[in-house]
Amino acid sequence: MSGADLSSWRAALRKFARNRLALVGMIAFVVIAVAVASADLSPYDPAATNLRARFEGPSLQHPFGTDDLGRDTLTRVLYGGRISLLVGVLVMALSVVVGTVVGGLAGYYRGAVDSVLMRCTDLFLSLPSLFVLIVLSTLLMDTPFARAYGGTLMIVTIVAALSWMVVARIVRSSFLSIRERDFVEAARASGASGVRIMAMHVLPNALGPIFVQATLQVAVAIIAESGLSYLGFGIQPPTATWGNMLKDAQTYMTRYPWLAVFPGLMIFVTVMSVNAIGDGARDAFDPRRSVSRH
Amino acid sequence: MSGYVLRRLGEAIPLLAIVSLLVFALLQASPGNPLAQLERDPTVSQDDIRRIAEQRGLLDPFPVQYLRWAGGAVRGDFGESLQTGRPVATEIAERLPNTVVLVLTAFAVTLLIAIPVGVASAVRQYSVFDHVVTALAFMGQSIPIFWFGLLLILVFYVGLSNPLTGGALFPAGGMYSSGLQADLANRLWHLVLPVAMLCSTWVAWYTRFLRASMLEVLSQDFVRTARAKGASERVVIYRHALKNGALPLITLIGLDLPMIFSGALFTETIFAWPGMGRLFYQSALRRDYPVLMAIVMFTSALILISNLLADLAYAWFDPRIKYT
Repeated sequence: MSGADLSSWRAALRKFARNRLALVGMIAFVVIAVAVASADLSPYDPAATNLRARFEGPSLQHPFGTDDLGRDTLTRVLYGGRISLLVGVLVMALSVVVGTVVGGLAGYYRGAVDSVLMRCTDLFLSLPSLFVLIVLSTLLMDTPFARAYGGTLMIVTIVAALSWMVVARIVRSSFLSIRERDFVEAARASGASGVRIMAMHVLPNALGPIFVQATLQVAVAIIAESGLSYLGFGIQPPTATWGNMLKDAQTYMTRYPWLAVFPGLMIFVTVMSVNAIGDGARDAFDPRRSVSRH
Repeated sequence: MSGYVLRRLGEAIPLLAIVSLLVFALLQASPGNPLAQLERDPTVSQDDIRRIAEQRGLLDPFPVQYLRWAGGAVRGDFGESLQTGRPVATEIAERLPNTVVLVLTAFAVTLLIAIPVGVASAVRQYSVFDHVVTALAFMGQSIPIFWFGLLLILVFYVGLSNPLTGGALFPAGGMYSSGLQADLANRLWHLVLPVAMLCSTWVAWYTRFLRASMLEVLSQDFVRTARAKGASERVVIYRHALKNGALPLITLIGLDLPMIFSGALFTETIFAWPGMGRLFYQSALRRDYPVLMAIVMFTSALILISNLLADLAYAWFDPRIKYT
């Protein structure tokens, strides 16, 4: 990366740090991540049932109350959060890699490569993603793939398979404009290969928009996983996730509302903090676009 | 213009064909083939099954089977539901109007709230009102709608009660109370919570979007010109600025309408609303693949058509855009 790029990153970072909402989001996200990572510190076992302590309201012993089997809701929320955050980050990583490769190749080589890859992108974009996710999850149910790691592997794969397209479009348009710049021309003239030019010269200059999109992908993936698990087509009990905890809570919700409040609140706060980071990053990298879409 | 329409159709139709090919391949891969029932029946011999399969063309090569299925699908024949044995098209046709009522109401409510609020927020940028709206919109776009639906039930069905009747303030399920099918007021009463749930995210998105778009437009020269010639603030904002500020909204609406159908899946499931989303959910639980695939096909077609219409509408409303 050249010095000019470094200073533009520094400027973006300074701008990000001045954005109060983004900072609050960052702190909230770190707090949630640390809490979730230290779930083992909880005195309760997330799976241990205690029939004498069913449906206890929030108290000092059980800050989020207990569920129908007497399990501590806070502990389950923390362990569930591990899955939700893991799914969010893995889906983001996968879809960013796929989207960057597809969009990068399309934008750099243009012509026939561009047409074919972008028609593929259009194809995926014309699929109703929630419906297709449910169909895939139903089709794969009972296969070893769907059972691996409590269903996490399958959910990550299918959610990522349906969420790389926006990244591809953004990377393509960045690559299209960056490839015309003089330093790329210079690299080409010096005989660098296509792959080398893309990796060393074009990609570093497209990292800003990719980073912005990556944060938004985390939010989208967390919502998708929890939505699928909530409907019963995601990660299956006894593995707790925020989504399937909400599903269980529904049955008892009218009498024991805290069961439905806390897992949902965790999704809400996590997604909000990720969106705040994404908004801040977008303002820092590209002040012209004030509202972007998933 | 007509050349552009033709070219876009020429892109959309092959896409739809590929989607249908994928859908059909998945349908073939799905368990529960049409002969499963016969295979379980001990009085039916293997030879009979073979003969029936041959008669129905189930032993034909994949392309032949696909073309037969696609030929039917084009005419609205998506086979029979494994669950009820009725034609899939009939099952969908029965539920679709309920979903359309829900989605269109939610959409109308979204625009009725988002446009005035977004405009007012932009006009009074950095006022208390603007800060409150911006914060609410930010929260609204982060809230998982299935959780929001549960909260609505907790507050308006479980928590609050109607002071006149002592019953729940709003019902938490169904389209009407039993026996009150023809009562419009009762139907509207049942629409309140599902619509509130369905439009929550969209109100947030559109308000934010319109605020940003209006801020951009309000600083442009033609707005200053309108003010300079003595037009009232109302005329400046609503006649001059909003016309331009709302233009990008047309594209958004085209892109989002099918996504609102997806949101309807959660809403209909939570509020026991007998629409297409709930049909999809129940069919998935029962692994009724013909119904699932027909709905996927239907929604894909909807996405492609509304994307096309959005682009055309944009060109229609904005004479600066020339499509070739």
